[in-house]
Formats: sequence, C-alpha cells, structure tokens
Amino acid sequence: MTNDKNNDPLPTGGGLEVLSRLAATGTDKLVGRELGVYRITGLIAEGGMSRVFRAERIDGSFERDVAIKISPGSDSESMEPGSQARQPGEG
Amino acid sequence: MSSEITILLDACRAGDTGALDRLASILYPELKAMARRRTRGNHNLGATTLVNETFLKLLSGGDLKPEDRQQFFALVATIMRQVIVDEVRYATAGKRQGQQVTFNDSRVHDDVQENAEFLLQVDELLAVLESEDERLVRVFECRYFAGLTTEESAEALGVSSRSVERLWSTARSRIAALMKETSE
Repeated sequence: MTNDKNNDPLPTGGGLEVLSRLAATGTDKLVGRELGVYRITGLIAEGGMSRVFRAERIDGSFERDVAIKISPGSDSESMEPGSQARQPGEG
Repeated sequence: MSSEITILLDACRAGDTGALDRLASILYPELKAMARRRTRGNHNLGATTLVNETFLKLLSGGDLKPEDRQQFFALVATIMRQVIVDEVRYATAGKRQGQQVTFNDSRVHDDVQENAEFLLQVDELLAVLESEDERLVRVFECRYFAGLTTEESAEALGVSSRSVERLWSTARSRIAALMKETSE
C-alpha cells in the first residue's frame, strides 16, 4: 500500500502531524502581533491551561519587557501583564 | 524488583481492567509531555519516534523490561490517540466555541484548522468502527496515532502483518465512507 502524504488524508503517523502543524500555527500567529502598546516577541513558557509570551513596549514611552499570559479557553484571549507593565502616572 | 508499570502490565495481561486504567493514567502525562516538547519545539520527528523514545526512556529508568515491549506498544497507541485528540481539542477550543480573539489578523490558517476538525471527526467515527469490529480501531490507532509501521503494529497487536494491512485498509475506507455519509 502506498501512502502519498500529499493526497492521503489518513497517512501513517498523520495524527501527530496534524497536532504539530496546529501547535506551530498557534505559536507563530501570536509572535510578532501587537496588543495595545505591546508587541509579542516570543514564547516563554506553557502550562496545561495557558501560554506565557514575552512582549516589548512599542509606544516609546519606556523600555520594559512584560509577560503576557494567553488562555485559549478564556472569553477573549486574556492579557495579564506583570506588575512592572503598569505605566507610571497612569490611572 | 519490578517497577509499578511492569507489575501493572502483568496485571493487564491477566485481564485486570483496573490495572489498564491505572497504567493509562501513568503513561498519559508522560506521552503528553513528550508530544508537547516534540510539536512545539520545532523538532517534530514523528509519532513513531516519540513512542519509541518513551519506551526507551522507561526502559532505561527501570520502569519497563525489554519483554514488555509488545504490551507497551499496544497500550501506547490508544493513549497516543487520547493525547493527540485532547491536545487538538484544546488548541482549537476557542475557535470551536466561536469565541472572538482580540488580536489583529490572528485567524488560524484555514487548512490547519480544517485538518484539526477532520482529525476530531475521525476520532468520533472510530466509535462507530469500534462497534463494528474492535480490531479495526486498534490497528488504526497504531498506524495513524502512534505512527507504527505494519510490522510494528503486527507485533504490538499480536497478529500477522497481512492482517494489519487488511484491517488498516478496511478502517481507512470505512472512515472515508462514514465521512461521506455524514457530510451528505
């Protein structure tokens, strides 16, 4: 039996391939994206329920990296900057 | 001294279903961690490598004996299915529930999303196959989810290579037919 990877919807080991492509897209789609005054620069860590990305400030007010937690199951993908993300003089 | 896994495998061989559940609960997180490292770290070496590495890791840690290989592979294929389906479901959760994502242009590539939906549909159709002929599902899990070759699947399931080929072929065409039925 021949398994043409391009045409066969059910190739040997196909299950993990689907997951791999999905995982790659999930990370790639967020890195480089802008979220308010931040730009996501990379994946720091991931747990069972969420992933934590590094992000940099892009409005030029000051330079500081923050951590942004993304929870896929949440209402809108939630943003939880650490305490150092708070702007001085804000609020 | 036998490890817990080895003892449980022996109990499984003796038909203890409680041992099977316990074993699955030990191996599930192990395989999930391996799958996550493999798929997110840009070094995807394929399912069969992942399964083999898990076996070798447990072997070198003294958790398995070389003679456990056959039993381990048969079990691992089913657990790999659970891990992959759960992970795909998790990764597509927001999209499937129709939730809005607040990022600009953060749509998941359509073909990737389609493949994921397809996989979840296949998983559901396997329940239909399970009621027709359980062996179809065991072979399908070995080939599609664990990435085992015909020979590896035959060894794991204790059947001939020819049987594996026949069952794999039947399973695939049954799934294609069921998929066609449900889309009509």
